[in-house]
Amino acid sequence: MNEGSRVAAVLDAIPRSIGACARVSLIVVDDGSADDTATVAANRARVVSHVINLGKGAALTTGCEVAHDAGADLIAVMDADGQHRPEDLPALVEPLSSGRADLTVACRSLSREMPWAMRIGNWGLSEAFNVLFGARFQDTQCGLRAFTRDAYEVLRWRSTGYSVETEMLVHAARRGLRVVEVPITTIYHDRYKGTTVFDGVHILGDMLRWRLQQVG
Amino acid sequence: MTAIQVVVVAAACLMLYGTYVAFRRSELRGAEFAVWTAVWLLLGLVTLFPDRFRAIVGPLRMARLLDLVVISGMILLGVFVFHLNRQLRRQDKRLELLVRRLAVAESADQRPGHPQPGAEEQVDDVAGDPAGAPGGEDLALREARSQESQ
Repeated sequence: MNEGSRVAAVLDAIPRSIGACARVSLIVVDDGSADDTATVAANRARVVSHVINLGKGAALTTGCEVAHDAGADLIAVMDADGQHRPEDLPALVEPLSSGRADLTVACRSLSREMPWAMRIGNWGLSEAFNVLFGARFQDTQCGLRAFTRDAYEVLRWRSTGYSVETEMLVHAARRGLRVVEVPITTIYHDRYKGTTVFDGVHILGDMLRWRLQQVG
Repeated sequence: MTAIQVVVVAAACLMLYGTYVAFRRSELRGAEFAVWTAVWLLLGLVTLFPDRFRAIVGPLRMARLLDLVVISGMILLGVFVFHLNRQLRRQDKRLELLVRRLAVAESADQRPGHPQPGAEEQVDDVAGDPAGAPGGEDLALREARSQESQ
């Protein structure tokens, strides 16, 4: 949303073939942007525009459903703000194309480059997830992910907001999907966009709800 | 009549009027109109004639009439909040479905084979998805089914 100044560079940097994937199709979900995101992206990708902002989870649903209906074998999702490097996509896709994983999750290092509030939030949420679900993830909140077509059919989420990443992992754990973490480098352009402390609290609440549902 | 009685009765009268206007504008159904009218009338009557209602406080094992009014109000409030929350969730889901259907339909229309006046040319690798235009209807149907199952 409102990434008109960065989306072109992100799309241009995505390779047109990634490892075993000879053909890469680009889909941009414009989630109710007020700027020229859709116009800028339209020359480079298929653009699906929400007339109003629905949230990250809803935007991912739209994009993934379009990709699924178009017959995509592998689906990779990334943010349009340039914080994820397209150069990391081959490493993310390789475990899927080699059959080692159903879902790959990028894993950011909690270095000083990451804003401190985000560092604490990501660490806290990842640890909470690990304790609640008996998992061992380093980073449960990174938006750069890839999954197979079959895995997506299992992963389909209901979250419309920032809880989507966590919900994916909950579904993956419940259905026994093979998840591989891939270390990446992230670039932080804007400290005031994306998740806030309130989103973190919301994600934690959702996490507890899903855990209780699992128990019930 | 005390000042607080005047305030409560005035508020109840105002809400009775508001309820009637909403009903006349077809913003409330008959049953809703009846429920809200009963709520405001009861509030006004309890405020105006508290002694008449003290008889029901004893059998309910409550110390004061005010306790009964407060507890009844809280129960009513809980019911309405629950109902509103449920309605809001349903509206959210419907809105999401509508926005997604619009987005997919518009995106499909703009693809080659569905030329739009003034539409910019798409790049090859994007335009040539293996399965052709995605099924906007399929997506909508799937979502509708998913919502039904919830």
